[in-house]
Amino acid sequence: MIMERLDLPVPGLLKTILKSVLYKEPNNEELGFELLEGENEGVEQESPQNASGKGDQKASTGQRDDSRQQGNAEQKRNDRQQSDTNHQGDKKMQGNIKTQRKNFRKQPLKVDEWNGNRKTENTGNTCKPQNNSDILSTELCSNLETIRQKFLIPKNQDVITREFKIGRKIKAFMVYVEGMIDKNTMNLAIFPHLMSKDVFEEIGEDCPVDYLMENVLTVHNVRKTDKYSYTVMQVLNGMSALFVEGCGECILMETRGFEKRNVGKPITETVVKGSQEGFTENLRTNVTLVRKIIKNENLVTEMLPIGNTNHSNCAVMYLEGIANTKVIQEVKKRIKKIDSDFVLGDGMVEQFIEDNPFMLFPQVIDTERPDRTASFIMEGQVVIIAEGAPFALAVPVTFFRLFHTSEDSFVRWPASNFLRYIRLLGLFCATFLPGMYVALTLFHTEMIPTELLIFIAGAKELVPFPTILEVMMMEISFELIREGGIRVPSIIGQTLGIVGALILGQAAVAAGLVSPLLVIVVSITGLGSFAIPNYTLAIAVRIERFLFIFAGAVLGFYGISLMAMLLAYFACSMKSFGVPFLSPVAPKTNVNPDVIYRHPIWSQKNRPDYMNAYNRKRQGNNQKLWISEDDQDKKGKEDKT
Amino acid sequence: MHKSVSIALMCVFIICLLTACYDGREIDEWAYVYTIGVDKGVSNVLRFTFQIPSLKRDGGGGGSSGGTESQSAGHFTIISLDAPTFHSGVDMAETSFSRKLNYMHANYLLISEELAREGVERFINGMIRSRQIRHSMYIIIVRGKASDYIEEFNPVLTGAISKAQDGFMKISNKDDGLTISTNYHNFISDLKTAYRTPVVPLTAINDFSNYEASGAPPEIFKSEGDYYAGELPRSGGNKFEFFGTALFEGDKMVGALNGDETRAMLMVRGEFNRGSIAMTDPKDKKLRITINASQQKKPGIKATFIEGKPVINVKIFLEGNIQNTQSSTEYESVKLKPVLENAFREYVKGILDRTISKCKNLNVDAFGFGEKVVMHFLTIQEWEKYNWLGRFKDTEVTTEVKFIIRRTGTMLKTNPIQHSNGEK
Repeated sequence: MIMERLDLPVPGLLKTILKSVLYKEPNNEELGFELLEGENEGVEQESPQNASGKGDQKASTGQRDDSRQQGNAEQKRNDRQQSDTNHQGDKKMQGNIKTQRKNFRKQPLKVDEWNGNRKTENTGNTCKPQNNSDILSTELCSNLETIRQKFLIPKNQDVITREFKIGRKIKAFMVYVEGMIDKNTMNLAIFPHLMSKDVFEEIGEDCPVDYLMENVLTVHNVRKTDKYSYTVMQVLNGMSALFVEGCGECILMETRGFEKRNVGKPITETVVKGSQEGFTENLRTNVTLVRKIIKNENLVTEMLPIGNTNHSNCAVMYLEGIANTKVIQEVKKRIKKIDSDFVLGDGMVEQFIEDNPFMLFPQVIDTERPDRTASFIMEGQVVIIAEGAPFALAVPVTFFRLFHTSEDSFVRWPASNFLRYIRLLGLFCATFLPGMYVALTLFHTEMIPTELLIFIAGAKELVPFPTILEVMMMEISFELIREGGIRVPSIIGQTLGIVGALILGQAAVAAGLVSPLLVIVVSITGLGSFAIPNYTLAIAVRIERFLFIFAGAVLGFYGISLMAMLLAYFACSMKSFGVPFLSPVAPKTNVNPDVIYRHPIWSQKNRPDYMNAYNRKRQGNNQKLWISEDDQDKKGKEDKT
Repeated sequence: MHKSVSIALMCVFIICLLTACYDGREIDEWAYVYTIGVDKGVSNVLRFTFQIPSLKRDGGGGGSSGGTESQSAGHFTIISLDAPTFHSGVDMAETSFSRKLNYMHANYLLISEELAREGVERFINGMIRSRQIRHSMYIIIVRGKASDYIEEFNPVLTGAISKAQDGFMKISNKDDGLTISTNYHNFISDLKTAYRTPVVPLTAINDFSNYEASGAPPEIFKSEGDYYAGELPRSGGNKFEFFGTALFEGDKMVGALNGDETRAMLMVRGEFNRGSIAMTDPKDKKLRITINASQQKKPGIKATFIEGKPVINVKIFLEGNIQNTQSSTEYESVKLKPVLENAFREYVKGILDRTISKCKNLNVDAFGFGEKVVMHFLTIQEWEKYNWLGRFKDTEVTTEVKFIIRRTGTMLKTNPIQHSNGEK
């Protein structure tokens, strides 16, 4: 348009330059296409597919909720598909849309239309797919067509439908996803048995599904189902489904065998003493690792589906009879309410279920260690393990628990207290040190020892920037190094160390950018933030640090205390699954002997009060018992003599 | 939640704007005063001298060496000016610097003897009103001019002047007792109390004129404390020394105690820590013996009224080690030890009586006897009416010294030196 406006007096060269700079829609001959302005933008939202969904939504909410309560998110998807194909309520809507759509070009083909077109080409196939029902047909070819249609075969080349005859008589087919199943099981344990001649020695006239399950299939876990939706879900999960001619049910066999990482050392939570096992990305493995530690029949693992499109799973684990049912109910409720197409890993689950999304502090605790997870469960917490990330979440959590590490309970109490206080010091440094430095140098110079003051002032003479700018410069470059350090490929990782040392070191001082003391302040701050065991909290502290720098620069120590008070207010108002974030300090509850100061392990008799666990008592009078027994033995001996 | 967070943050920012108390000043926008000197003014009421360290670097220009080397010793500047008051003097001084004067870190307030004898009231109250003057700042009387003294105040052993300033005061307090230390707070409260009068350390420039390169030692005994500041027979070291105590009556300096008398005063006050006290050998008047004495416990001071006149009984408890004998006499022995103890008792009692009578003559209760006398008064009004400080000269003070030799150093027995002619 601008070109048109400019067309008259513009010389050719300028036109060319403008042409290369200005944005225009690509022509057909330029082989380009663009997604920026789709041809049916705006209509897409009201397309028949979704419009029907919307139209039906109110009517079908009841139905959908039912399906949720059944715990089958897969079914929901199916419902949608059904309503897509179900054109009863659509006609009115379509009328409206048609008027809207007059201005637009031809609609792209929908998937089922495409399939329909394709099918008309395949003449000779009399079988019709079961479009309107989720129930399996008794006709094998109809089932085959439906399955093919559901998995978009042959476009989709991952899914394999293997047709064969059972015992050389009955037609059947297997469907499974390539790569998700264990080929050895298939080749050695399933197909040879099914295809051998003497399968049907005592076969009746009935559908042979039960017979096969009882006598032929040597797989440890087999199920039967008559629903397509369930079958599809399980096949996507790595099971294989066997369809048999004349049967309205199919057999699902546990043949999972996909690639997964082995159990290795926890990378983010290393300890010196204690278990060296870490979670993996596989949910089943993770649950097993926890169950391996808590060998108790009351340990419950509930599997809940999350993610509407990626159909991920998450496990909710707790100890029945210890964990508070209110917490369990709340966790399950919140997880079930997650309505998102893609949910993967604990990080996403955490964001969906946390109480206060706008707070800096984490409200769930995550760990990579099965032993720590087990200890959470034993405390009465509820643990959520999501598929796809090697972490487990535990709720509820308090501020003080974020400072505990699994090593705390593995080393003797003087050592663990020492380490814990060091960590607290780290938190203090990471939060306040740069802010206090700014406040000291700007407002409270009388607090600095004279010689040090003269030294700082002398070093500052050549630095042209105000203190606040100096501090910000150093802090931001430190954050850059840290962030860069995480992203840098490990092959060139060494470079980063050199660069970092230059920026945060002598070079910066020599360049007259910062004063030498500040380098120390920033380094201690960095060290302090590394000492915080919880990564989410560490990030929160990193952000808060800047608030304190600002407060210190504006109002000195007064500003820092104001800011600290403000943060404390917010922390006080927070709750994590019904537990106040700062309990047992605010509000005050019975103090469990492991808050900041950790008492010897034999004196930690109760579970934390704020968890409201059903079984408050954790252990008996350990040492007292054997001491009194010894005394009794002595007495007994004395009596005998 | 989002809303409340943003409201709270907004409040914080607005508070910052509303308070209007943004008085932050960069650390390099100040000039830090180490020492403040006060003299009698010439062209105005008072003459103030400020000692300010220079933050200038050696080599200059911010060269390759970077900003890490510390200040080298003795880099400071001194400014003296006549001004009506301290604070106006500060403002006047600032006009010659690009910085604001910061005297939060000033450690010494040096007052010239001349001014002190005229009275300190003119500035002592006004200065303390400033937030920047620390109550822990030391007050010192300079014999001679404070401005000249500050010129020379550049400790030889260290470049860290403030550390040295602390050090001088600590060592006198803890280790020798030849002078005392008084901070601003104690000084001003002693000025205003009716229990005692202030005592202030004395200092002076030593021009090394008492040091004689050759000659014979005098026959008569001269103790280590029989000097005033600036009189020590020495050469080398710092060009100044802290020795003795200035005595105040009201806001005026009226006299001074030498080192020995300062020790005696400290003993009565119960502040004597430890010191090597030399005296003549009881067996041989030519020889000297040193006892390292310390206070065993707080002195027992009893005040009574006899016929309406206060009578004070002072009991000093000392203990010590034999540090040095110049003869081979075996003072460690059971027989001779009491002899030495007796002699020392007499010696200390002599100094004590001398000091008390000196103070009585000056009518200066430097010992804090008032704190004991006040116990005989039921109300503070009666006590104030009694005017203790005016009556100290009429008080009868008796002294008593208890002394025990605890240790004899690393020698348990002194064996005589063997001579070739068989003499011992």
